[in-house]
Amino acid sequence: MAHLESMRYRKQPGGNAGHDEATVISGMSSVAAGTPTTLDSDDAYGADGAAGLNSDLGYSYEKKDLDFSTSSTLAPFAAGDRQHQRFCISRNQWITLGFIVLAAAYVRLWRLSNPAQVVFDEVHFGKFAGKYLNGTYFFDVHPPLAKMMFAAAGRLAGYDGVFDFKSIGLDYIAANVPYIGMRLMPALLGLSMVPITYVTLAALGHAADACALGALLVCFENALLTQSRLILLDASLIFFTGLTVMFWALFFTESHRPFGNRWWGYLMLTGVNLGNALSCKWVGLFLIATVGVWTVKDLWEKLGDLSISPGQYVRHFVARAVALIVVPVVVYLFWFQVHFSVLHKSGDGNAFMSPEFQNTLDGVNLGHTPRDVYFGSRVRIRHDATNAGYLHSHLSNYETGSKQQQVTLYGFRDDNNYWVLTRTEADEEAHQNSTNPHELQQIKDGDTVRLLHWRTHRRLHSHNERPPVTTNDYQNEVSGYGWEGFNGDSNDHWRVQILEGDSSIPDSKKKLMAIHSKFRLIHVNQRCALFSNRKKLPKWGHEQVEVSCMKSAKFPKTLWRVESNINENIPAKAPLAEYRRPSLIEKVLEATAVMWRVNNGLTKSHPYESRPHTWPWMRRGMAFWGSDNRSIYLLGTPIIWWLSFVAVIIFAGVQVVMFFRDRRGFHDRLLGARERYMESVGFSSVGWVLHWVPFFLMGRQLFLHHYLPALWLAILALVGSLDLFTRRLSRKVRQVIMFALLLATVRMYFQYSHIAYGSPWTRQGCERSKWLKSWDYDCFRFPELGATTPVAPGLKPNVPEVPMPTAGAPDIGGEPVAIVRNKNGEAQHVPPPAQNFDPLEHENKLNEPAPEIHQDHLNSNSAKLDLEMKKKATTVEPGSSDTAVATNEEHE
Amino acid sequence: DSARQHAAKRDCAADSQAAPKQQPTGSKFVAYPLRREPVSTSVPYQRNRWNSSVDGWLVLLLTVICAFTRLYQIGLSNRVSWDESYFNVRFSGMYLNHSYHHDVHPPLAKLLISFSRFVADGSNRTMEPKGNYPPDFNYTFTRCFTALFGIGLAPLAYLTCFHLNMQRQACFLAGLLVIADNALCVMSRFVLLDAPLLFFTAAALCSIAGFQNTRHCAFSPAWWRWLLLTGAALGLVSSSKWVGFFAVALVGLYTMEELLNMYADFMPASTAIKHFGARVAALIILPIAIYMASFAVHFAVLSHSGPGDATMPPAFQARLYGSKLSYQPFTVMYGSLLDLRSMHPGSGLLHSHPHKYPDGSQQQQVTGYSHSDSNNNWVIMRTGNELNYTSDPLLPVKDGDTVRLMHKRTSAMLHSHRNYKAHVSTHDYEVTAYGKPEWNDTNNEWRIEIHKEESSVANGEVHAITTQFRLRHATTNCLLSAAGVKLPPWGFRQTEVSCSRSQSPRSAANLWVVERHANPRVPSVDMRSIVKTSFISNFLRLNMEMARSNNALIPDRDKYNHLESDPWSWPFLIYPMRLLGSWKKGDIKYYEVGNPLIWWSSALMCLLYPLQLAYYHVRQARGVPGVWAPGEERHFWNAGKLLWGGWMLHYLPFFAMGRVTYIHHYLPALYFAVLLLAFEVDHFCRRLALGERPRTVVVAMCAVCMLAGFCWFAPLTFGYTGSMNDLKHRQWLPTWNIYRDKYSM
Repeated sequence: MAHLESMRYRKQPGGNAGHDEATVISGMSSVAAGTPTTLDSDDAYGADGAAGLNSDLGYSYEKKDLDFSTSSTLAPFAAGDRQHQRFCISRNQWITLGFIVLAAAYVRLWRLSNPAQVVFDEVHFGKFAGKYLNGTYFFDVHPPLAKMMFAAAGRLAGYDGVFDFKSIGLDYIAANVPYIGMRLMPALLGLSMVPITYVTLAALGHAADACALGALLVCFENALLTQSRLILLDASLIFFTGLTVMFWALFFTESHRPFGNRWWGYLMLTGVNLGNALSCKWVGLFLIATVGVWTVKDLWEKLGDLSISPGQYVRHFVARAVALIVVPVVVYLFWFQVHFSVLHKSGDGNAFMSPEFQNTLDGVNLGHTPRDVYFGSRVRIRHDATNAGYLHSHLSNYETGSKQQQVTLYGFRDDNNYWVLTRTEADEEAHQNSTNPHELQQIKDGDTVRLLHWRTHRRLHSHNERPPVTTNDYQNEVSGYGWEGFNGDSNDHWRVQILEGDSSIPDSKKKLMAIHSKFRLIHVNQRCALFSNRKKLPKWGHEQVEVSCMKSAKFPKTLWRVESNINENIPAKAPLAEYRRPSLIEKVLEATAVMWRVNNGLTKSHPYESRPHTWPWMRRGMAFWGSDNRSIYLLGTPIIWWLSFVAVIIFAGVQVVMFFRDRRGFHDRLLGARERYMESVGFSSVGWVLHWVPFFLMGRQLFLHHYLPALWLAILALVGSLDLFTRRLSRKVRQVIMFALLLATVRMYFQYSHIAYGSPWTRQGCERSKWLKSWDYDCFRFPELGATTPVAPGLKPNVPEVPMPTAGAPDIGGEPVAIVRNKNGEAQHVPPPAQNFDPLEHENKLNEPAPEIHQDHLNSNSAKLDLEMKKKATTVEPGSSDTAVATNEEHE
Repeated sequence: DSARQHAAKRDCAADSQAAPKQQPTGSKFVAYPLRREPVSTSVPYQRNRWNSSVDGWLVLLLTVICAFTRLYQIGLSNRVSWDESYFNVRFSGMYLNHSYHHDVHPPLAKLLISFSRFVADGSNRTMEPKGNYPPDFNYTFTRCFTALFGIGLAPLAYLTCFHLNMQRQACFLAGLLVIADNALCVMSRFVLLDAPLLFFTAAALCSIAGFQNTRHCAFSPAWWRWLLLTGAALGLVSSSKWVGFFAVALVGLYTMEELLNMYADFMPASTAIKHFGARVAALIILPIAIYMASFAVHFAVLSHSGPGDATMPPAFQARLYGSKLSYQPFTVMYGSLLDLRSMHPGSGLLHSHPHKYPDGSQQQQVTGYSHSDSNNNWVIMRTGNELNYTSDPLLPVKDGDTVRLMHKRTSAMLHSHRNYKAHVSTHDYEVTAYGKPEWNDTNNEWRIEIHKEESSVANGEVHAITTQFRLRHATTNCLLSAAGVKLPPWGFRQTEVSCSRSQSPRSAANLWVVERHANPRVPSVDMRSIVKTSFISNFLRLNMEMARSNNALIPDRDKYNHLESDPWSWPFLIYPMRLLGSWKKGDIKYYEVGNPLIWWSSALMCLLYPLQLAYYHVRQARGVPGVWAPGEERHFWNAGKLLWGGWMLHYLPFFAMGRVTYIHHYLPALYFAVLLLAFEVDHFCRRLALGERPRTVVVAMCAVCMLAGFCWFAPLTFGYTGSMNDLKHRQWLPTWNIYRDKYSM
């Protein structure tokens, strides 16, 4: 309410040009004149006197402002000057920029070949580049653009996609990998941040010397430097962030010529680069938020600007909606389209995706299968919600609960996934006695079936026992029970309840159809539904996924689909079913959902992870790589990190003070500097907050390099503040301050360049540079001054324990698919290790021996087990001992 | 200045006549305002004045109707219904026999209920928490007692609207709406905390509205009265349930806006300080005092040991009558049998059991376990020689001693080693139970470092309960630590015990205390005379424990529970709740369904209000003249911000909660929404410039519709015994489970 009132004071009386000083003055004076009557008499605090006073003060301040700004020798603040001339960068400025870029090229490209080994997350992104070149589908938690850029760079440099970047420290030269070409791409992107910073600052209205200072700070910033010399995604992300901000700033230089060619151009380029940033990493969402906040602020101000007609206002609104919402979405979709069309072969990312999705990849042929499912059909049943695989059983028993045969979900297709759908004992008898016992009978919604495991002759069974992992009392164990010749008991009865069908085949909701019908299997006695929740069984369960029977389960995780349907009696011409081809949008949505889920699952601790609150003061860096006497450690240039943080804090402090002064009626304009401060430093500070604070909400592991986009924005804020705060000082003092900052930066750049480039260093130099105890790069790695050989490890006194560099992004690729059926329909048994659905658990398992493979199908063994089962059945489980009918007292 | 004070006094004395506001004149500049649309209002916006002969009778009428709906057939069902098993049976029983117990809610409302049970019954007998009440137990009385709070809601709604300066018809409508909501009704007919909570919330809203209305005459008696009433209501509401903190937040935000406005006003510093100080005293100190007083009564009443002991620190337990901790040997000697408790709340007692770690060293697990159990017993031994505590000389355990701890049941020694990392906190070392007492393994040795002693008995020896100490591992220099981290299923979800390498010796996770101590050769003493506790620390600890147990109520998101519902579904009344688990034929059924007409229309108003604000402000910003009638803007903001803000603050936070949520968690928000509904009716009547008569007609029609809705669902509110088939037509949404549950299998 209050801000609206203030807006009325500001805009209403002299609304035709909000930026014009003169009209503001007339506006203020008219408010002053009208004060006694415009205020609510209902106001409790008698604001009349106050407002009168305020407007008097406001008037005098405004007047002073004008006087000063016209007499100011150094670049005037007044917006009026910018009003009528087009933004441009002078020839001298271009020349300066050229020299800066030359210097930056040396700084950024020097020793790019060093080290000739795999560093940090090159493990992943190098590998992914290879997969693009091979075209095999993989899964990663990041959108594709940055990785495809590496693939393109690799292709240009001559990388063939064979080298697999398996671990940190592998040698590139021996493997003949053109890694320099691949590293050149991020290095050039990093280099271009220097001119981008310059132009951005210029477009935000800063003086030439400040622009040059900003560009040089970015050039000599060690963290940006280190991060952009390796095969890592952040350089691309920061590059597109920079481009977006630059075009956004340029867009505002055109705000007095709305809907002109340049206006449209800058706006669209902003949108395109927003999309690009988003397609590199989802951190781009924060950038969208930043631009969004500023758009809303801008539109809100335009609302009170009576020189804009409602029609124009709508055009403003629509233009921004198209450029900043539609265009980024289209760009995002476009890069995914490229991603999907490049990765057209089946690969280790398949297991994360739905069967519909997998079916679009070469090498996966889920084929088609007879549509209608009959009693007696042999089927393979897929769990719908989790992509965790097929209902499976094998000749191993549970070690808990009933100790009967295990029933699991298994991700690969083998014969142990086959179940025969049969009638109940009573139905079977009735059917045999009916007129035509050989007629095929389709399974309908509501039918009760029994599921016979095809290879082991156990029946899918459940009873009042707790499952091994999910031990809630509303969960029942699901087991395989019975033996050949045993007629089964009533705990084998499952009711088919079809919940979803294919809308184009209306019958699929009433009759069971392969692929089309999504159904639940409800245990008749226990009234529970067959359920799975991606929980892994212990080692005795071969780490396959637990299946249980859940009472009162919600629908999604109890849905199943028949995927293959085999029945000798089905006529040849019977209708077939196959998976639908998903559209691009569906594929992107699915990939995005999986990325989201997996991303949130990355909660395992990492030796170099850090929480966001430690970033602005750079509590700790990250070790990327180390060898005998050299190392690469991500550490920023301290003075830039700390001062840029201070600049943002000062901005916040100034805003608080101004807020309270505004409330008292002093609408200070500070010679126009306030407006400038808000437009430039305000924008970067808001961007900084939006690129930093959301990380607090994330539970996943976080690293220092997640702060880099925010850091760049904070540098803009620092340089912007410095420019504005020193404008009223004499030129000399201003230049001394700027030079001091620059010199300090360059000094620190040299001091820490050893761990940025991985170049030789001395122990003394290293120890001296440890300003914070928590910076944990290993100084014992470096030789002492004067020593010729590195100290033998045994002689190191009190060596602090420094974790070795490990890759930051966890490995989430699954194992390659090992088998499918051969032409004769028999499965070739090369059972792969149990599949990993949860990348987190996969991570945990990386260093363990491969899990034992279930030994099944040994017929002799099977017979022995059958016998044991029979014995047990007579003693432990006599027929229907656990068939006690569950009562649901809450039902009438 | 004096003129202003004079004006303020005149304002207090009589109704302020809203001075006609001068409309801003058209701009000189070429401008594009939206369409001009003058508003004429026949009803001036001014402060309501109490008229006993009208308002008094209306309030009385509302109270009588409300009393009828809340009390009709209140004793029909003699079953212990819904959470009556806690509030009417278990907790009140324990208050009456003084046994200490733990619950997630603050004590005030439960104390009131216990008082009513004391009046009704007098005895402190234990009753079955399920099934029927004993035939001689006067449950009707206790239900009537809580129903009183429900009855108070309707007059409070009238008064609140009155102080928000709505017209009488709308005030009366608000009262009727509160009466005509089935959910508000049914939840105040049982012995539950919701009725007191709602009543105190409504009281807080009413007093802040009254306070707002007296803002012209600061520091007048009426102003002070409303301010103190607000503070008192805030204290009472937060002592009933923590949902009350949302009301505190509402008043806090209101006060911040008010102070900000005052800041813009150039008032003398002394006046400003007085304003500020008055608010600090009444709105911060007074509620905290009431909140703490309720806990003081809670502790004073619960003087005996009971089922909740284990949630509190040993020192507190030792002071309870009848606690096992209050009588035991004091000085710990070698050979004593000890239960060691971590000072970190929620970590429990040092525990071991014959199960092994699944990986790492694969030695025997050591965990933290919160329940009393013989697996928590450890024998403290000297290093080197074998234990023989019946004949060895009796030596006290001193600060700096190196000791060994033997798990009594398995005879394994508390052990740690450098080679293996702890299983969850991977920066720490693993702690196991390993080895035999006769083995000379330095990895079994731990050094005692005393952290804090009871000053009256401090002598460098370890004493039961009063001495806090660290156990430092002799070879690796790490500290035995239990930070309350849960182990995976192989550890039975007990808490992790590790050896912490991050040396933060003051951290509670690294501090241990001897909770139980047994040694046949040492005489027991009465700990109650030695142990001291402070009310503040007990109070803080209990509040932390409440938060912990509150957050532990996590639902299984894959399970459909016919009781739970998610916050998004509440305003639309998608998942009403069966108040009795049993829904069989012949049962008296109560169904917690709101009056859909009220719920849906109030939800609509809650969505509408911000849109209206935006609409009016856009028009104003575009310079449309006559957007507001005189005084209307202030009225729209002053009343709307409290009602809509209250709705938001009582609703949105539930989205952020991980715990289980029920539909009645929406009731406080609903109360605000209902008042907002009445406010919007009033607002539209005024904007349409309806006269006295048509306005009465409109309001009456609204009231009749809502009452009809109430009657339609009344059988489920008053207890239904008939056939469920007759209720088919009352299942308005397919998700309702009045008649049949779509998730039933």
